[in-house]
Formats: sequence, C-alpha cells, structure tokens
Amino acid sequence: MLDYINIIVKSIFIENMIFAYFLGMCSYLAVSKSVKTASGLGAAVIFVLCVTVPVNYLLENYVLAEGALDWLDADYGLNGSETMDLSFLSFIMFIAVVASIVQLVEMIVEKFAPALYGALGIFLPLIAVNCSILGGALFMQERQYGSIGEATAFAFGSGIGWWIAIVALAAIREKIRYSNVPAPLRGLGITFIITGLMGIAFMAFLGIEL
Amino acid sequence: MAINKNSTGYTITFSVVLVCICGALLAFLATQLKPFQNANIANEKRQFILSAAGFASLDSLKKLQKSDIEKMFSESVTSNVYDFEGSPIQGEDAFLIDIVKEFKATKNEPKIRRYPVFTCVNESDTSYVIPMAGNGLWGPVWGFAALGSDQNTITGIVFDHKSETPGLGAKITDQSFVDMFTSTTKTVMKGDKYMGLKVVKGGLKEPNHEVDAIAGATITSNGVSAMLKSAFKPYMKAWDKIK
Amino acid sequence: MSAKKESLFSKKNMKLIKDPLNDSNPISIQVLGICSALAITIMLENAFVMSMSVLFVLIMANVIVSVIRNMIPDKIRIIVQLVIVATLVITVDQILKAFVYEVSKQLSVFVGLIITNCIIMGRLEAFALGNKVGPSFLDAIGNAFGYTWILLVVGLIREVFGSGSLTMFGLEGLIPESWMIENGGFYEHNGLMLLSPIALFLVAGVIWVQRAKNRKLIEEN
Repeated sequence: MLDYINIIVKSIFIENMIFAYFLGMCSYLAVSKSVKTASGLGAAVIFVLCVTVPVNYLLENYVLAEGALDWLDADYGLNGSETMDLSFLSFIMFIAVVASIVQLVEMIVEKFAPALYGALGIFLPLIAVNCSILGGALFMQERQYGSIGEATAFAFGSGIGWWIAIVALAAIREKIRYSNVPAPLRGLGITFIITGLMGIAFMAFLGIEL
Repeated sequence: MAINKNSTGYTITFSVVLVCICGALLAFLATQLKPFQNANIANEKRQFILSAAGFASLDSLKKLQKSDIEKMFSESVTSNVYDFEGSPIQGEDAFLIDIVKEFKATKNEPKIRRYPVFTCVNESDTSYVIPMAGNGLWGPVWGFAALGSDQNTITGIVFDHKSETPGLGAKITDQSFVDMFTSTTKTVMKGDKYMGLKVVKGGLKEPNHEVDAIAGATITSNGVSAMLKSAFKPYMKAWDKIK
Repeated sequence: MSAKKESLFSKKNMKLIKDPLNDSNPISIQVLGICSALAITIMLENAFVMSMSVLFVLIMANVIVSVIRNMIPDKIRIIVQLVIVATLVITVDQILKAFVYEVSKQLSVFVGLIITNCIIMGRLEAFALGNKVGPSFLDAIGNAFGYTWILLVVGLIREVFGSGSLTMFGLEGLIPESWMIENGGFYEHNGLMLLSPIALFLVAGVIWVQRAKNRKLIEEN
C-alpha cells in the first residue's frame, strides 16, 4: 500500500508532468484562461490517463517487450515466440490505443452520462494529441513498473498533478488580467514566465524523501 | 471514379492497406537496423568494462572507434560465469548476459541468477570486473566494479542509470562519486568475513567498506548500496575467500 | 495541368516559408509543439538532433498526407494521421538508436513524443489536408525551421551559461578556468540554466523581443 502512495505522491509533486517534463503544454497553455474549463480538461486528462496507462501496461508486458510473448510458447506451443522483440512497434501501438480509447470513452460517456459529456465532451478530442497521455504510456514503459497496480497509481498521480497545474495556472491568469503587464508580454509571454516560476516552486518538492 | 469515401467498406479497406504498409515498412526497418543497435549496446558495455579495469577513462574510450574497442577488449579480456555458490557454469558467454535483465528476471531469487565476471589483463596488472544491477528511484541502475589482483580491493568502478533525476540521482555517474571508491582503500572482505560495500549517510563507520551517499538522492543511493552489498559474494565463494 | 499553375517559388509560396520563421512562429505565436521542445534544450546537440528529427517527420508527414489527402476517409482522419506520424517517428527513433546512440539515450522518451508534438498534428490538420503537395512541403519546411531556431537559441544559451561548453562543436571549458570562483575569479556556472523552468523564461524572452518589434502580434490579454 505504501508503495502506491509513494508513487502517487511522487508523480503529483516531484515528477509533475507539467513542471518537470513540460508534457501537455499545448493544451495547458491554450485552455487555461478560466478555472472552470481548465478544471474540466484536467479531469478529462486524469480519466483518460487512468484508462490508457493500464491498457498500455498490459500491451507492453504481454505483447511488445522482448520475450513478452513467452505465453504464446507456453500455452500454445508457438516456438520462438520467447525471443520475439516487438518493442519497435510500441509508439504506434500506444498512440493507437490512446486514440481509440479516447474515441470509445467519448461515445460511452455521451451515451450513458450526458451530464459528464456536457462537462468533458469538448475536451476529449483534444486529449488524443495531448502529450501527457502518450508521455504517461512512454514513462510507464521506460520506468518498468512492477505491476499493473503501480502503473495505475502512476497514471492517477500524474493526472492529478496535471490537473493541479492547469487549475493553478488558470486561477493565476484570471487574476493577472487586472495587472499591468508590459504589452509585448501580455498573454503568452507572461504565461510562460508564470509557468516557469511555478516550476521552480515545485522543485522544492525534490527534497521530499520517499 | 465514383468511390464513396465515407462508406464503411472503403474505410476498412483503407485502414487495412495503411496498416499493412506501415507494418511492413517498420518490420523491415527494425530488422535491418537491429545489428547496428546491438553493436552500439555491446560497444558501450565494452567501454564500461575497459574503463572500470583502468585502461582509460570513459570519456577517452568514447572517442575511440568501435573496432578499436573491440580489438582492445578481445585482446585483454576473458570471462567466466559462476552460479550463486561460486561454482563455474560451463558453456555460457558472460558477455551476452544482460545484467539488468538478469537482475529483473531473478529479482527475488538471487540463487538462480548467473554471475559473470571479466578478467582484464592490462600489461602486468590483472583486474576482475564484476557487473551488477539494482533499482534506483525511477528505473534500473547498474555498474561495473573492478577488483585488483588481490581479488579484494576496488581499483575502479563505473555506474550508469536509465532515468535517475539529473543533478541528484544521476550524480552516481559523476567522477566525484566514483572517485570515492578509489581515493581511499575500499575492500569487500574484512579478513575472512564478507562485507561487500555500502553507501551510507552521516559518517562512515567502516571506512574500508563504505562511501558517502549523495545528498538528496536517498533512493538512488540506497539502490546502489543494496547492489554493492550483495554483488561480490558469489565471486568471493568462487575464489575461496569466504572460509 | 491548370493554366494558372504557379511556380513553386512564387511570392505566395515563399511566404509559406518565411511566415513561420517569425510572424506565425509555431512556438512563440501558434503555441504548438512546446511540450518536447523545452525539456531537451539543456545541450545544443540534443536540441539540434531533436529539431532535425522534427524537421524530417514534419516534412515527410506533410507530404504524405497531402498526397493521399483525397483518399483519407473523414471519419478516421485523425487516427490515419497519427499512424503515419507514428511510423515516421519510429523510423527516426530506430535510426537514432543505430547511429547516434549516446544522443538517443539522452532524448529517451522525447523522441516518441514527437508523435503528439502539436506542430505536426496542427500543420497536418490546418494545412496538408487541404493543400497540394508543393505548398505543403514548403509549409513544413517553414514551420520546422521556425521550431528549430527557437530550440537552437534556447539550447545555445542554456549550454553556454549552464555548463560552459558546446559539446556539439567539441568545445569544452568556454569559460577560462581563472574566471571561476574556486580559482579566485568572479564566475560561476549558472545552475539554474540546467533546470527545466529556465527554458520557459528564455522562450518568454524570445516572445517579448518578437512582439516588441512587431506590435501587431500583441495580445489583448
């Protein structure tokens, strides 16, 4: 249990998707003008991460990694499958999974939870090309989490971290409208600087011992 | 031509054709480039072993051609594989054992792990390079430690990692960390007793068997410590050091 | 062959190349492709390899999508684009691993993230899907270079001031040893330059300069 909490805390604060890796910056900058929409997008990211990372984890460990197809040999007697290495296909598989799950989720949510669709709907198509989702899958692959539970905990933590980041930025941007920012920096420029400062603030969490 | 671009049949045909083309292309590419990629990985491993054995610094080895490294390696390095109890395993190529994968595959069963060792002869000096692997904060860490001809004193060591935090855990590859193992005498045996090596915080109690941890990188340090503590034991059994 | 066929280097087409370098720069104006851009600019060499990878993928993807733009079914448009981009990115990744192993280790997952680099999807959607091959090619070049120069500027500043070297040109110790504080001088490498948030400040600086020179780009908050 403690392991999972560790992973969650770590991925929210220490290795925050936005402040440590700049993943999902495009939608982060574009959709952070008001807290309400930012929060909606953040929630959609959490949701999609929690669904896609475990699916990609299974794919990675039972199909793609070197020797992952071992079960074909054991269960069905397919010789040579234990040395097969399909890892070169991982990018394409991950993005295909992400894109199709996003599509699927959109359809399911629309059908069964119209209220939720009203809140998240417009953001879902944006998410297929949000770097943080694919980034989640790739970090999961690179860090080689030990179990699907750990991978899910990582996805959940990263999603929450992303949500916190975008909501915080949106709140700041709502206030900064009343400030007298130098004209050329207005909008994008000052947003970059704010994000940078927030990133430095988040670095303080690096000292946490887990 | 009147093909309905939005019909289901067309959509399916289109995606099947596209997937086949992309798949074939990638499979071809992957099989063609695999030898080059494997050569790079093997080359890096040779560089690590040679640098731990004190042939040259890692940076200067990196500037050499692959063929030179290979020549240097084949001229001066021989290898053995032992099991946990220190008996030699025949018919295994030590170089082909990927220590990180071996560690992962036998995570909780060190007894069935294979233990390779590389014997390097540099002019008249012999050193024994022992590969090891462990877990860092974000992913695997691994290293190659060289023992001198007494098969006890550390003469060189290199570490590498997959994804430790730059400026913190990633410091295990820094010269300042590596130098701590060789600037004063570090041995794995204390008389007849196996000690291994440890990375500790807050002062050394056994200065011959411990080095200082990296500030702010506790998990990485602990991972390195755990791997250094147990890595040498099978070899000490093999060399009859543990009575 | 239409009678009004224009040359590939007509004024209108040249604009496709020039605009993204400055007035509609993908990073500083269109806000595309920032994700992977900032994290890998710690060294000039990494920034260069990353830019070249993006250049290759963007040009190829734009051309391919433009060639088959009339064959792609609308319903699966996005996923078809993703598959094409992913194929190209895997190609780049495999080539990097085979020929510049050291760099590929440092770029790690960021090569994979070219797939979701918004510049590529953005240009495919906005341009290649509706335009002929020639203009799409030029549009790709323009945008890729718009991306490249910002990456290179940021990478250059970060490497020179952060670690005092330019490994890409084999230069090390650009700052004379006698300047360093430990040798009684006045200079210290700026550790902040090695941290990722600094990249945001540098890009903000670029934006500031750009908009101060061209005031019509200034946003109304």
